[in-house]
Parts: sequence; structure tokens; C-alpha cells
Amino acid sequence: MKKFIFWASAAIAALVLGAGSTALILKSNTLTGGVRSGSWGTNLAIGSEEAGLYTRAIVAVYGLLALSKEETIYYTAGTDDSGAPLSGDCTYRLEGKDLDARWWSITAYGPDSFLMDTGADHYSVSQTSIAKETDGSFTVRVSARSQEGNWLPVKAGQSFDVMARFYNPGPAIYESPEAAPLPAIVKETCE
Amino acid sequence: MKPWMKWTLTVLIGAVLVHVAATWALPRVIMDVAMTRIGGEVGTNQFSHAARASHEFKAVVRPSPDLNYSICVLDVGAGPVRIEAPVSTPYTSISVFAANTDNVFAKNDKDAAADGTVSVIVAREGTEIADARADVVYLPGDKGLALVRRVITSDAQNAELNAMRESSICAPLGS
Repeated sequence: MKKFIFWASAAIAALVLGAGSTALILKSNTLTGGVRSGSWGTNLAIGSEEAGLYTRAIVAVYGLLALSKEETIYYTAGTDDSGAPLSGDCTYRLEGKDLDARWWSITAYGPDSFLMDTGADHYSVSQTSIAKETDGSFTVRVSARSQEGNWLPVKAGQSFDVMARFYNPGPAIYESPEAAPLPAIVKETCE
Repeated sequence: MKPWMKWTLTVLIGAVLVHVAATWALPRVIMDVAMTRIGGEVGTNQFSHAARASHEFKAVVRPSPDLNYSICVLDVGAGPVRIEAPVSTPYTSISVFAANTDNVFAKNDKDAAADGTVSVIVAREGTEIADARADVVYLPGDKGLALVRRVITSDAQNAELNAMRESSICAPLGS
């Protein structure tokens, strides 16, 4: 009986510790890991055959079927430029210029990594849909409330992140992903 | 060695083994679930064409609402599979994923053939492919997944993409 208790308790403790530590690492490491450019982060090992044990697990949880960097680079931001987590109770201003890619988009995702039911008829802004100034710059308002001009809708009372997709990124993104020009994320107001 | 020391050592060794095994298995399990969800209705080696992603789509995390997706769950155990898709502007790609989530192949509309298609043959490692002109990608196992992404520029253009994608091919080579 003593032997049974020894091995059973050790097995349970090992399972809890082993599985718990995996869950903890995955929870604290999202796709924003690796290289940072302002509030935005990317992991260039996404989709790569050289990806390690943890990168594969993180991709499976947060970005299944992501393309490797040769085809697409993904940047994610979960905070504004002051470092505060993005909240659906606030309105943010995204200020930037055309991203350096053959085609690009910026999409908002809820805390479960799925699109949010915001009641609006769109979930993203893109090279195709965005209205730009004559110098190529743009401003996007990220808010749960309908906005004039470029509007990226989010859900009130819920945290979110934004993902920028660079399809066929320019050489400069490859060479210096930490210097990639990405939109500034400025908090304007909160409810 | 004292019993409590033996117990602690056993737990630590066991925890490391469980941690590595869980981290290794997780992508394979998630990929398998995704392939089952996606391929469940149409089976393997044929395309299923997804509706435009919305907040109701929950099969795969972080779907792009700007992309028109066609998905083929691959089983190359019985032989190679040919994938071919017509391209559209501003962007179309074919990508192939192994069962461990690795993106083992991608090709886009910049490299389309003269007939306006992109194609690839997918085979199990060790298989000999006679057609030397074709792009060939090898999977380490029998299972995998092919994904065609087409950028949607408007609802009207998406209707055209929906019609166009019907001519995409995912089928056993030679069939």
C-alpha cells in the first residue's frame, strides 16, 4: 500500500507539474514573441521547418496554418504605445503609412484569437479598403463605437489584439524586422 | 536515499517527461482536430471551399476576413496528390502544411504558370515522382493539409472568386 501511494502521488504530481508548466509557458508566450518593433511583435520562426518545440506549440494555439516568413510575416500588438493592454472600452488611433508588402491587412481578434461579434460589417482594414491621405499616410480609429473614416471595430468590455499581415514583405522587413515601419497605437479616450 | 528525496526526484523527472511530451504532442493534436473538422464533411484529397470568415467561424484560430479559403486535407499514404488552383489578383497562394504544423511549401500568383494556375504535387517522403517539371513537396507522414488563399477586394469580387475556385483541383495524381 505504501508503494502504491508513493508511485500514485508521484505520478499525479508529475502530471500536474509537467502539463501545468506547458500551459503556463504557452499562456505567457504568444505570437508577439521574438522580434519587436514598437508595440508590435513577430516571431520569424512561425511556420518554419526550423521551428522549435515551443514555437510549434505556440503557433498551433495562436496561429495555426500560418505561413513561413518567406511568404508572409505576421506582427501582433496586444498593447498600445504606452504599454497598456488594448481594451474594447477605449478608442485608439492607428497612425501609419502603407506597410512594406505586396498586400497587407490589419485585423482585430478577441482574447480567444477569433474574430469578434461587434455588430459591424467588417473586421479589418487593408491595403484595398483603407482610405489614405495624398502622402500615403493613414489614420484608423480602433473602437467599439462607430467612427468616421477608417474604423476597425472591436467589442466593448473585452480585451483584444491587432494582427498585421505582410503578404510578400519587402526586403527591408526581412533584413531588419525590428525596424519595420508599423502604425503607432495611441490611446485617445476610455469609457 | 531518503524516501522523500526519491519521491521528489521521481516527480521532477516525470514532470520533465510530461512537459516535453505535452509540448511535442500539442501541435499534432490541434492539427489533427482541425483536419478532422475541416475534412469531416468532404473527406481527404478534395477541396472544401470555406465561406468568408466571420465571428461565427471557429474551426481555425485567427482566420483572415480578407481571404477566400479553399482547404484540402491530404492523405498521401496511397500515393501522391496533385493540387492546382487558378490565381486571382491582388494575391493568391497555395501552401502545404505537415501534420506537425510546419509550412513545408508555399507558392503564389507571382509564379503562376502561363495558364494562370499555381500547382504542386504532394507525396510521402521516399516516393519517386516521374514528372520532373512539377513542383514536388514531400511530407514526413501520410497526413497534411493544403490551403489556397485568395485576397478578397469586395463582395462582388468574392462572388467571382467563389465561382473561380470551383475549378481548383486536389486529387490523387493521375486520376
